Amino acid sequence: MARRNATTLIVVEDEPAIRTIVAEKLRQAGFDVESFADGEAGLRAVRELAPCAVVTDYEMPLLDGLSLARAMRADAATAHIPVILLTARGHRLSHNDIKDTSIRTVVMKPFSMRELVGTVTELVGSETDAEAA
Amino acid sequence: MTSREAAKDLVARRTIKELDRRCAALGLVTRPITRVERGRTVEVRERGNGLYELVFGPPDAPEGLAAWITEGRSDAMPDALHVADAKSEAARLAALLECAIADLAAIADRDATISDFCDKLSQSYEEMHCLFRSMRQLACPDSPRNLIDAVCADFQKTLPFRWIALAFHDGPRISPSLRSELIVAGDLNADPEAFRALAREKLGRLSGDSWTRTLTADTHPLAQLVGTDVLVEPVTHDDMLIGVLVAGGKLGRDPDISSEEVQFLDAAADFLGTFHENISRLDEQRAMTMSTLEALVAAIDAKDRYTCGHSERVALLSMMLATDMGLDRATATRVRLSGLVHDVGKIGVPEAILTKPGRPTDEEFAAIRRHPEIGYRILENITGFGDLLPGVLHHHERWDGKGYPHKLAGEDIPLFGRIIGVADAFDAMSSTRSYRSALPRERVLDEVRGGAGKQFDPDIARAMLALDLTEYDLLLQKHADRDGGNGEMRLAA
Repeated sequence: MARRNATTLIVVEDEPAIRTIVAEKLRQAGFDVESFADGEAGLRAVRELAPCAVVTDYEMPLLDGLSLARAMRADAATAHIPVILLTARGHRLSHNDIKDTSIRTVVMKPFSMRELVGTVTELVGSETDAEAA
Repeated sequence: MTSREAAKDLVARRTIKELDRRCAALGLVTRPITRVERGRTVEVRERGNGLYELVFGPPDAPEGLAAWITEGRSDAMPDALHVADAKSEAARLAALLECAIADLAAIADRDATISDFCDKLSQSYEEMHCLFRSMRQLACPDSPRNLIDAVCADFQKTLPFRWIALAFHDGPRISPSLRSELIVAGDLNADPEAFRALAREKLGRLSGDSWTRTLTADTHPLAQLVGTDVLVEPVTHDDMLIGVLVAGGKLGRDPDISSEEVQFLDAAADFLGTFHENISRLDEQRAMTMSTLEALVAAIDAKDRYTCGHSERVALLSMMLATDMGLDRATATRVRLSGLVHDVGKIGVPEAILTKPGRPTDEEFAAIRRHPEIGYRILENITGFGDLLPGVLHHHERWDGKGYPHKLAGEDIPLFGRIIGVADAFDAMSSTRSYRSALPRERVLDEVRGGAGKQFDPDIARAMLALDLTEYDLLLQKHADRDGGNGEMRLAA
């Protein structure tokens, strides 16, 4: 398995206000955060930086969050990086949609920043434990 | 108690009610116990003295439910058969209960989700409604400051923050009516001046994504000043930072902000940016209107040296009259503008007639009398001047109906025409004309007094007599100095 940067997180979100604040909140929680405004830029960064997790919006220009997570899954170098998908409640994702992706958790919008940071911290923590074990 | 806890409580109550019914059928007396060891299923235990107890403990009881599991006890002396019956019945019950608990827990979970969703939906509705209300107000920015005060108060009521502040920066691109203004809705709990200074110093230069939008009380001086974490949104106009919208003192169950509050504040900042754009356009439009008017007035002044400054003085007198008569500020301003252009039609009167020394002939008078209508035609096609036209067309009407061009009388003469008529006559008598020199003040006032009810609207004449003329005299003096007593230089230029 490719070596991962234990504290690097990638945030992909097209709304600037949400992107900035999610990144700031995660930085305050101790992560090194790189943020991007579209799925393609996000995917390039994932391949380059090998982050410990990816937080991505669903609806985005160029490449949506689901396709990003699918592309990550299809590539052996990025297949094991967990993805947290942010999505509006209107999108009813089925098990099938998520099956071939790296998505571990779906967070419904609107979400509390505290909950999101908690979810990310917990997920990254458990992944690290699993790798160590 | 949260909706989820309430649902669990409901599940527990229903379960116990059912358990009590079944136990009673078995001849068992039940009482609530406080604790059940997890993992225990069903057990009938002998307690001595002929007492048996029946213990239910579904292995997967949801957390919080365990405390409600009932312990049952039979005082009847059960024989071996009864114990066997009780055991099998209890096992069946336990299995049923587990199913019931799972179902009820699922329903409760769904109920909690729905209720949570409803809360969020109604909050979203409030926020959307708040933005709609704000947007509707965009149309009439007569007093930008008042409108922004109201809009910010509305934002603060809608969002779960103790206060919301809007700090406009200083700069030439920022509308003068809003430059350096600080608007606070709610309880800021800090000195507004200190807040404004910090907002300008710490949040005045950055733009785009280089912004820090969440300032924490332990690191940022602005957050330290107000004593809470704060959320900052840039307010921009054409990508230029014109101010910041700041929210602090998060209220509600969650001490941290949520994505919807961020989105709302973002939309609110956009709204304020758009509002500022409108205000700036209006400022520009007003400036353009003024320069158009000034160009027209300069054209009249250039034509007739004797009337130089006359337009400006009539404008001043008309506005003072309108204000003293109790008209509102906006109307008084329009009267002033109408007064400024009232003689614009003189552009269409030959210069030789206007500047002729001595009395004009009847024919020349007829030409001069056409100027209100010429002025009307010059201005009628300029957008935004519509309400100035009655003052231009009718400033030579007389209260007794003997004026021109329409021979209107009394209140049939539009108000602007009546006001400017008095101001025009007063200034004409007070200044030197090609055919006579200026009359002394007392003589002028006598003429106004004598003309009340004949040439002039008596109410307006009365207001004219009561007017403080200090400012007017200063202007008169200024014009006289500028022209050095004659208009030759101005004409030559």
